Amino acid sequence: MKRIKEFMKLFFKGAITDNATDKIDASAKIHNDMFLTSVFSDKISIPNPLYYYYVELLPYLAEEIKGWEVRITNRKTILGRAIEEGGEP
Amino acid sequence: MKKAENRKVFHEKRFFFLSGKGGVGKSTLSSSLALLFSQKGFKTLVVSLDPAHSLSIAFADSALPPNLSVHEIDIEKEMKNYLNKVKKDAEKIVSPVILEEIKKQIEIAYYSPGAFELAIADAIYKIYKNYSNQYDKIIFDTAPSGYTVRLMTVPDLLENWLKHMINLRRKALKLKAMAELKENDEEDPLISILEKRLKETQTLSHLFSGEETEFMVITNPGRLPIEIAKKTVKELESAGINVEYIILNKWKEKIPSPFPHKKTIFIKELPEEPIGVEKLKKIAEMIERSL
Repeated sequence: MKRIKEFMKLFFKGAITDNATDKIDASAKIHNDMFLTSVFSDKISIPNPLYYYYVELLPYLAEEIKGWEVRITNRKTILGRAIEEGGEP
Repeated sequence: MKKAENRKVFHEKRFFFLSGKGGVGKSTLSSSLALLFSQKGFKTLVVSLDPAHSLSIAFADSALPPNLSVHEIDIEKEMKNYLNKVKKDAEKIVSPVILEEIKKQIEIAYYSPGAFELAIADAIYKIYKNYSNQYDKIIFDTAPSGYTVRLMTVPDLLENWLKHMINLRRKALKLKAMAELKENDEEDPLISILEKRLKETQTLSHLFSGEETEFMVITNPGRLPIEIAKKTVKELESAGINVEYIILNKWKEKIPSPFPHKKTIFIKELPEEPIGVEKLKKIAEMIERSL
C-alpha cells in the first residue's frame, strides 16, 4: 500500500509538475490567444482600427474562433492559469 | 535666379498631393497642375481620392492632351471588391460548417473604425505600384483635410502594430513547435499576409516623406479656410511630412500671405468659373509664374 502511494505520487509529479513541454505548450497557447485577441478585439468591445486589414487572416483563423471565445469569456480562476503557465510553486 | 532654381526643383518632383478644406479648389488646381506638366511634355496621371469626385466636372469632358490621364477612384467600390476577394479565399479554406459565420465577420469590416482610411492607403499604394513606372508625374487630389492628415499619419502607427503582430505570431508558433518537439520551418500564411502589409505600409511611408514627393496645402482668403490650412500644415509637419508650397487660391494681391515662411503660389480670382481645359490652362500659367 505504501509503495503504491509512493508510486502514485511520483506518477503525478512527473505528469503534472515536471512535464516541461506542457509548460511550453501552455505558453504557446497563451501567446496564440494573445494574437487572437488582437485580431478579434472587436468581439470583446475593444475597437480594432486594423480590422480591415486583419480580415485577410480570418479564413486561416476560422477554426480557432469558437475555442478562443470560450477561453476568453469563461476564465474561471486566474490561479489555474498561472499554475498552467508557470508551474506549481 | 533663385526662382529658376525653385522651378527646376519643383519640376523634378514626381508625386504631388494636394490637400485643403472642402471647396477651396483642390480638383481645379490638381487638374491645372496636371495640364501644366502635360504641356511640358511629361506623361501625367491625376488621381482623385475624394469621395465627391469632381475631376471630370473640372475637365468638363473637354478633349484631354494625349499624355494626360484622369483616374477617379471609387473607394467604397474598392472596399467591397477587397472584402469579396477575402470571402472568395475563405470559401477555399474554411469548412462549409462555419463559412457563413466567417462571411459575416468579413462583412463587418466594411463598417469597422479606420476602414476608410486604410482603404485610401491601399488605393494610393496600388496607384503607386501600378503606375509609377508608366507615368512621369502622378498628382493626387486628396479627400478634405481631416481625412488626409489622418491618412498620412497612418503608416508609422501601422508599422508598429504590424510588427508587434508578426512577433507575437512567430513566438506562438515557435513555442508550439518546441512543445511538440518539432522543427518550426513551415511557411506560415498569416505571417506572409502580415509581412505583405508591412511592406506596403513601409513603401507608403517612404512615398509620403520622400524626396520626389511634394505636399501642397490649398487655402482661400477667409478666416476659416486659413485656420484649417494652418492646422493641416502643422499636423502634417508633426507627422514628419514637409509642406513646401501653399497655394493661395482665389486670392487678392493686396492680402498678405498668412504663411510668411512658406513658398506660395498665387492664383487670383477669375471672372468666371474655370471649367474645361482652356480655362484651366490659364490657372496652369499662373502656377508656373508663381513658382
